Amino acid sequence: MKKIIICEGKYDGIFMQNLMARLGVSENKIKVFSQEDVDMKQKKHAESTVLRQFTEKNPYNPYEFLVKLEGGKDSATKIFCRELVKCLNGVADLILLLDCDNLNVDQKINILEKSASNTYSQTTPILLNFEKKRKNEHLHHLSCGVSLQNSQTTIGLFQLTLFEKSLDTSCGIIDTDLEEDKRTKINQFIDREKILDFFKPIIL
Amino acid sequence: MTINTIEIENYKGISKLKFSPKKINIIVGKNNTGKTSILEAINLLFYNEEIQKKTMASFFNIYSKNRTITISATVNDKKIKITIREPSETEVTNAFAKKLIENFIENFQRNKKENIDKIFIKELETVVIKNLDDEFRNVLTRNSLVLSNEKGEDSVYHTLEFSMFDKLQILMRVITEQMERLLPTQEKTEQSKHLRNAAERTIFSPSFVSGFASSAGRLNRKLIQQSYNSNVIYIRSIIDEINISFSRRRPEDSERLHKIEKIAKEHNFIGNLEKLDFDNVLFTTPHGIRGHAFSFLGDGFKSIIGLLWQLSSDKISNSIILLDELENHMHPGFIKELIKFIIDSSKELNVQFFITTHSSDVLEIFLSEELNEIERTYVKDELRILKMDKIKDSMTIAECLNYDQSRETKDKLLLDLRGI
Repeated sequence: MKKIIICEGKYDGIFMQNLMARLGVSENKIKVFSQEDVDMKQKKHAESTVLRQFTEKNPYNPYEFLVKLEGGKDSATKIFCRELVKCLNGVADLILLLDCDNLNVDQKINILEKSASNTYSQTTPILLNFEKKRKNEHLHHLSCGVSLQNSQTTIGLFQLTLFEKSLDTSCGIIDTDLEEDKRTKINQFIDREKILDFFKPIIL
Repeated sequence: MTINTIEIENYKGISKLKFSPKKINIIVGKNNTGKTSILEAINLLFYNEEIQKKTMASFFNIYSKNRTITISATVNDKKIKITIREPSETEVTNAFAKKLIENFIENFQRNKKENIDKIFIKELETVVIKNLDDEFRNVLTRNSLVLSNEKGEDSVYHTLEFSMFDKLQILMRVITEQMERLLPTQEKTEQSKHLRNAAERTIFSPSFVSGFASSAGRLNRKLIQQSYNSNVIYIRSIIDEINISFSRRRPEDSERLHKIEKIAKEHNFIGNLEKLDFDNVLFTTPHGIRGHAFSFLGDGFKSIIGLLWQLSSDKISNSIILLDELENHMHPGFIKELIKFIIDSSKELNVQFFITTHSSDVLEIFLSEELNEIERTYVKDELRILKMDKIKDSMTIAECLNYDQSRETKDKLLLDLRGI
């Protein structure tokens, strides 16, 4: 099954691409879409067009992973709610990579629950049922079953990974770091903290 | 008249859906997500005789175990509701027998007013029921539905397949024989002829070959009246179904035609238009004024003129207009002017619109800066976009977006409001 990985920003994307390279995922299987890409912003329905191309059933479509950088925490959550339907339809598995920032895991979950519920509240209320799977010093892995409010049946599943604080905090990135330094710190973090072991069952 | 909330369950492509419409409701989504089903359900709620035009089984959502359809709405704070369910065999056979005999007696009494005893009528109904074989019962039950209103008043609707025609003829023969028993000996020959004619008329009546409503005719009439008062207009296909009921004898029609000619000229729907008429349209050409038959003109022009004719009726004040695929046959330039007209009609005449579309032009125009300040202010308050989707091809899921959410989805999140 194809996988859509929704991240908050540019460095999450770099982190994810490097991580997948270390996990042995070929570069040509990964498509990266950034909301901050100016050219894309000028295109009509850019996000949907990319998604349509990615999910297209075509023997010449090489992409297995779509890494989406949503240009901010708010956008990532909103877009996640809309992508949820695709995950429920079995078009692609959905992985959400977010920062907890100053919130704890339960508070972060609460925001996601509210956002998903609000998106479809008027028409078809849905419920998210999170299950905490694993955690380490930097990261939390949760799986989430999706069900309709009036029914107990789970109609879909997605994976949530949360940084305890943020990618920047975990990697030790500071604002004054140069681009090159930031990339180095991200790579060092992947090597140092058994991050590959943590992500392997989620990504592959 | 305004629908404040609407709830649809198990109707055709919709498993379950509830939302609060605004004055202008744009319904978008991929094919087969239930967009048109929403329009049909609203129409059926007000015009329940529409139920006869369909194959009965096709009303139910095929993925649902529950064989009951519920359509309810709050209209001007008053709740209206219909439920549609499969009937029991007894319900269908009783209703069929009652209607058949009722029709037969009515046809017989056309020739000679005879007093027919109620007990004998009951007896005839029993004869019908006894003479329905298993195949007839099965076909009848399969093609029947019971429609109930909120007071619990039931109407049984059924369509009769042509394959049952021979059996219906045999049945009428049995009933005719029973009726003949009643006749005085001296009048037998002449009356038998009337009976046979009545039987023929009964089975050839359109109500038997295309379906009929029985038992609670009162309900039917009442809802028609309600729908007449409430004025719900369902425009399924602009080009095929818009009824340009123009009469030169009615001065108000000429006035209306003049009005839409003015609009067509103002908005330049067609270049060099000199005079609009449903027989002959006149154009200014370098060689003078020349005419074309209205029917000869392009579908886009006919669509927009037809729609303007409908929307310019005096009767549309306070109405609900259901419009399927507004953009059909139309150039984006036409669409823009039409949307401005729709906004204007909604605002000035208190018309509520439910419009399905696959067109990004329609959405772009409603959300664009091209609208003037008054139009934009109205749309900001009164636009609702319902984005339909399905989970696992069976469960309806929909997003209900207001103006700001729609703008954000389109401009900031870069998503296609029509779905992917």
